[in-house]
Amino acid sequence: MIRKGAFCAEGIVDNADVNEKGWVLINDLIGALVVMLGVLFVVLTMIAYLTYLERKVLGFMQDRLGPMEVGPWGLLQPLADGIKLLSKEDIIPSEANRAIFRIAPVISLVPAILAFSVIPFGHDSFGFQGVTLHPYIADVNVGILVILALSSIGAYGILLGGWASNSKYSILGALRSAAQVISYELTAGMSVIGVLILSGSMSLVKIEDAQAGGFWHWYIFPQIVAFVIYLISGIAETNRTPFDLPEAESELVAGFFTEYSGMRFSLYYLAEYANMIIVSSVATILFLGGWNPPLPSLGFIPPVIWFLLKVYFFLFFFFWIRATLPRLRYDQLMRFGWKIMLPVSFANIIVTGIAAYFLER
Amino acid sequence: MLKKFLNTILFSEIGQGLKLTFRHMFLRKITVQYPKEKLVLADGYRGFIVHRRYDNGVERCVGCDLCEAICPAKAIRVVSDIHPEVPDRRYAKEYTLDFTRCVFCGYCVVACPVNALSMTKEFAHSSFTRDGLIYSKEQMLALGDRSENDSDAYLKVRNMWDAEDSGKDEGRYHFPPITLGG
Repeated sequence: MIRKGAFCAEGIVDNADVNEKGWVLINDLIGALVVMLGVLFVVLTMIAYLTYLERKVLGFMQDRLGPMEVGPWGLLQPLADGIKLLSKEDIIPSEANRAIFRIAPVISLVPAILAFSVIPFGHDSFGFQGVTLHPYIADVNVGILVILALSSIGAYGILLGGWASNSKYSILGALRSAAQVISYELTAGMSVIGVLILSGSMSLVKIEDAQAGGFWHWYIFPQIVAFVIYLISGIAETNRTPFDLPEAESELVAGFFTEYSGMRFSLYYLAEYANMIIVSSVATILFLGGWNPPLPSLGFIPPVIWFLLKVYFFLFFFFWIRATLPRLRYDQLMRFGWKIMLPVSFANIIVTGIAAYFLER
Repeated sequence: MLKKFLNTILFSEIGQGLKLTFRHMFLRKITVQYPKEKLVLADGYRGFIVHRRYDNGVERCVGCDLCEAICPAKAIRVVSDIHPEVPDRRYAKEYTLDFTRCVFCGYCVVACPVNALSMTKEFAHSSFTRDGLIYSKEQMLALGDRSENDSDAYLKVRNMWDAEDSGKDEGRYHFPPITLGG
């Protein structure tokens, strides 16, 4: 360590062992902070350009060009949108519950960003001057539970925002959202269990390690039913078409954020796209092997690239679905969730459990 | 029965839709990036109405009021008078065309016995005031001088071009065949 002497003056800490431990702590702290800032920066940039990507993909699928004016091929459009949203007037309706109205978008966004703390983006940690940088913020041994828990908290932001706006469209959107998230979070959680049985761990890093060595090890093949169920309930959880009933613009103006404008509106917007990335990342990790290359011989491409490729495939799939399918009716949504998705996911758990039990013998 | 069940669990209808939207991603886009690229307008395009001149620069309009009479939107107002210098000749002392009322139907061009009116390919005229779109005869003449080829082409393609019209100011009424009904 070159820099050690500068920090620990002689006489203040004279025990060499304590000195060494203190340095490890500080290095860990610096490493964690750098990774956190990096992940936050990358995630926020990804969200900004996701809006651009969505408009482009939707435009191309509808024989249009999408945004073209700001910058070459409209590449600076997210920046212009951000400046516009931040500089817009912040309106709070006079009959709104002001405190809750203010805090609701934050409740929606913070869990969505927090969930990135357990997402592993890559494989290899690398060291720099004693500071170890991991490609994830934390490898929690109940990572998947953390993500499920945080994504349910996000629903409170929607619910509170809709209620505090004191508008009939908002409250209807919020109620729909609450019912929808409860129904589909259940099936999402149930579909995950099959993968947990196979991998024997809830840590996202361990689940990915269990799928190493070629695409035939990925859990999409033994868990194809769970994969489809997870994808459908993921789309429903993020309130995307064809499950965008909470913000159905033809019925509810904009649903739960009808009364929001400017900065607070953009927080809801960010939360929606952050949730999309979370759902895509989880689907990638659980079913497509995360950072693992499809063939062992393709290992020379960095794991981060593989991870992002798969995540963007899912994000593209979300846009693709949005360009293709119309919105479900509300009774169809509920019937599909409770009478089809839930029994099928239960059946999947039972079959996977029995198969895993006998195959282990 | 089995086929229907398989179609349901394999989402085959959704698959069809996805295939369609995916194919459309690679088709030619129909967007025209308007200020940067413009469509080629046909010769018969009914754009802004202009006044035309004879080859020697004398305006063709004789103030006959036929365009005012036929205008379905009542956008044209003509005040005709005897020409102060040339005896035996009438002209439009005042001629205003209100482009906020004009429906660009082209009837006035058909009605004109001396081919004094024609239409151009200009369409991007805008103004911050209503008065700015009420064009006087002088403005319409200036517009006509600017887009002479377009106004000639309009009359030709709309079959109103008078082949006997030499372009010389002969002080007489030319009735194009379409005006005479054959």
